[in-house]
Amino acid sequence: MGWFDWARDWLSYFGFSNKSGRILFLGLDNAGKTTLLGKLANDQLHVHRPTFNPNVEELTLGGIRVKTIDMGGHKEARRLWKDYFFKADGIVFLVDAADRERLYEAKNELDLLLQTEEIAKAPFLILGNKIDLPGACGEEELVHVLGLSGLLTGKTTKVKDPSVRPLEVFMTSLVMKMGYGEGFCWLAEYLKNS
Amino acid sequence: MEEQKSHKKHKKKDTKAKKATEEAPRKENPNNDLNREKVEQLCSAPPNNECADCQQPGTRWAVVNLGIFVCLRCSGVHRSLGVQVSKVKSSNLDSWSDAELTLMQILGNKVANEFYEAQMTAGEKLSPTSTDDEAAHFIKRKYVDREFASSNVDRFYKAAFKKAHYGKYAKQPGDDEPVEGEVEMRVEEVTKTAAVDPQVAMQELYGAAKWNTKKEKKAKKEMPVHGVFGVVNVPAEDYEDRLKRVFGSFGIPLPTADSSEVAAEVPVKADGDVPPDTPQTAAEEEEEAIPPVVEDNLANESTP
Repeated sequence: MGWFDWARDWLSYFGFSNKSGRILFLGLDNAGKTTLLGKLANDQLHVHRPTFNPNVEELTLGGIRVKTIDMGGHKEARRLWKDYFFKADGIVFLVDAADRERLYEAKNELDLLLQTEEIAKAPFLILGNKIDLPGACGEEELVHVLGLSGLLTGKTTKVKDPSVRPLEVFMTSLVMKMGYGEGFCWLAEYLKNS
Repeated sequence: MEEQKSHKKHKKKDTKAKKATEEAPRKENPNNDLNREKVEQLCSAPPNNECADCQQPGTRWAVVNLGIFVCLRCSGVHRSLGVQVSKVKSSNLDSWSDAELTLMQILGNKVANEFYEAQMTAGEKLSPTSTDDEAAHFIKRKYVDREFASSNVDRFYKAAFKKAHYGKYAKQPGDDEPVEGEVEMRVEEVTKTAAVDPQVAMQELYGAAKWNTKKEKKAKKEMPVHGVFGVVNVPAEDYEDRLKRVFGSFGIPLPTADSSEVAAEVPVKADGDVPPDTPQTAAEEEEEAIPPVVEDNLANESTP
């Protein structure tokens, strides 16, 4: 169970109330959105077919009930994203760190999301996935390529200023069960307040 | 700590990748829709309308870097392999560049399977009714371990990428040689070399070895070998001469006492000056063939 348990324990340690939130899983196709959802929902890794319809899953992370919506990542499917922006409390943006050729495409999508008015306040968790694969880029490079240098708000420090959007990059590997626990801890910190 | 190490390791690569991503053209391909339409046409016609892996009809998904069209189930497996092995694209949900379209036109299920299933026996092929686990296992064997692939699969794909200007062979601006049309023929050539038999391939690689044929092997064996005491293995047809010379140099007459047959024969030979390759009786040949072997053995033992 590893990180997930650790995250859950950590969250319950801080005693979150039964708040509910809504998180969107976004990212290019084959970044690992559905796999992440499956991992969080029942701690199982599956080989998933490409996502056509959004998958919705109710999760309880610590004390917070979260409705997670996993969207398709293909170019045409991305048009659906904006229909779900309404009332989104948090965005998880997944990037396939091993797919260097498409990092630029990911950056374009991310830029569009960051400029979107409806989710201007939502905390933004960016997960650089698949770091277990050979040739995956490191955190520095990912931040650089995505053009996020200077925009990150810190992994441990919490942003108090309401006008600043929380944004942070975590490197993860679902296969190795690494990183996403910390990422969701970070996200939960902000969901708690919203 | 480990992460840092890997950072350093990839630093060179990283900077390169950064440059590549920065220089990537921002503008969208104007004929995206056209390309997508062409891809849809391509995947709806045989041989591309059946999944390259499990033969299921209906292929809306393409693995671009392998040049195959697959069904939804198999596309899921390909996605899980990572982009190093397969780059999956949807025929109707993704945008297609010219190079990708050309590549799919060149390759396609038939050609790709000729290479990736070259060594496959009939029973090993995946059936449309197979389970997901079977499919995952099979696809891994086929493309990650390359168990059934022909040996020149890499070379062929490199050639195909070059022709289609795919990936790192992307077209440079201002370089607009016509691609379509002649591509198919050239790749055909490559496919032909794929079916080459292993002996020819070996010769291509290592050159024609001198001892390849049986005849040459025999000839090589019968070449005189010089030992410490002179020539060790005397060919059968030279034996008589040599024996005479050796015995003569010591002033010993030929050992005619042992067998009357040889004694009767030898003078005739000497008188008539018979060439060495005259046909002889089988018995004689046997008799003559044995002594050199004995001598050979002796010499071998005596020489260190």
